[in-house]
Amino acid sequence: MSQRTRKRNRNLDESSQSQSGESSQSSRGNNRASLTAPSEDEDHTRSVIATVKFILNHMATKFPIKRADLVKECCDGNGKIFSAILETVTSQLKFVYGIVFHEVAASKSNKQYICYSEYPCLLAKNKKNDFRDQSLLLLILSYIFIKGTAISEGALLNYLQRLDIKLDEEHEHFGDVKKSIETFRKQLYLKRDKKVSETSNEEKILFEWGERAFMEFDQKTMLTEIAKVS
Amino acid sequence: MSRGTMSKTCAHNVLVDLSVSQNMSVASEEDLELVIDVINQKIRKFDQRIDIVTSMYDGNEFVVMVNTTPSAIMKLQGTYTPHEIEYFRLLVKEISLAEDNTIRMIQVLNLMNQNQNTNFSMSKSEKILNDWIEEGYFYSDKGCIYLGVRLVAEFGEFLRDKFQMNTCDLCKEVLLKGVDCEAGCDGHFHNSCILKYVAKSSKCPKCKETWRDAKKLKT
Repeated sequence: MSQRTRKRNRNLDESSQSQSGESSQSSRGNNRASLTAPSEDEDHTRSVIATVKFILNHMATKFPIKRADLVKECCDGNGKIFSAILETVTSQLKFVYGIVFHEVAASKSNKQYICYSEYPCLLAKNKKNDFRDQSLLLLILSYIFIKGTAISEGALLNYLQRLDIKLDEEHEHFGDVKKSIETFRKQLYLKRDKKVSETSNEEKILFEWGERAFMEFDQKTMLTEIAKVS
Repeated sequence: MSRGTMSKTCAHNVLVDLSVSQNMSVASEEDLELVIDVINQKIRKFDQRIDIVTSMYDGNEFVVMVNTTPSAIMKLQGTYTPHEIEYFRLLVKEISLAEDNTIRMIQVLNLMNQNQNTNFSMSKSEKILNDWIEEGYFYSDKGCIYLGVRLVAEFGEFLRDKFQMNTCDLCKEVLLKGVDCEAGCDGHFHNSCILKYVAKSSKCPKCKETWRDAKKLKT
């Protein structure tokens, strides 16, 4: 029925052989006796595996992953271990899975990370809703791109209304658009800022491209595609 | 990983797209199996494995991502809430214990009522079940729910032992739907297992009686 190889689990042995090269470089900075170095390597290997698995499990939602959670769940609450293994984790994700593990620039005190694929085009054929959400996202991002500046919430609503997309109604194709926009904001595709207008002292909500959008979408290609539509 | 399960044809198409985008020669199906072998060597340390499996229900081949963590509980980790995990467990248990290993949608709804959790509305549970069907954990056909290819690949051994499910007399793995001995012994076999066997012999692997219609077996 299924073609499986029934090999014994040699995970830790294999991974410690491949990891010991990298993690021993990071422990070289410590003035520890060589007797303790092997167990530190094992800890690091275990943490690397746990961190990679945690990231793989949590990246599907595209919400940022908090450094604090990674330290707590994968590094026994020890921030130093996390700092030591970060480079290994990043390279393992890149070379094994083609995933870029990127620190969100905006987060300084509470660091967060997002993941995206090196080959985003191959992920396009996912679940039905993903394709629908991706279309809505591209509509919004291309509008902001063409405007060349952050757009107000009002301008965005007007634009969508011209496409017969209303925020307070369930759209027959795009579904709950208000919820989708909020999801895009949480996923860092869109950035929402509140700005107080200098003239009228009113608070304005502005939308612009989020950090993830810059990472995943190539603006040059976007310009070419928009030109085709026009 | 974002999909968990895809048909072998779809996986092959992804590989073809990739090989074309990298200006390489177009990948064949054999290339797909080789690529999967190489990938498996790399991801083994993260308790993952990609299996090529055949559905016992429709005979289609699928490529599934399997979590090889030994503990059954650990396999369900990730973004599921405790209530969702409990719902999953109940469904798996009901289907595993049911005759013919299937339950009707109406039984699924009754299960929801029993699971007296106000956070779990009907529409939410239906949505989650559809997500699980898409991910390959369950299979749906004509109003009935069955165990899916990914669930069998990940949990097969655990289910076989815990619920004492039927097993194929050739490969000893979980058998949900297959071929019975023509001569009347209690031998049961996976379609794919018996097809390989009858290519060499027309006798039942268990009772050794000759099967007259052995050559007529199809996928």
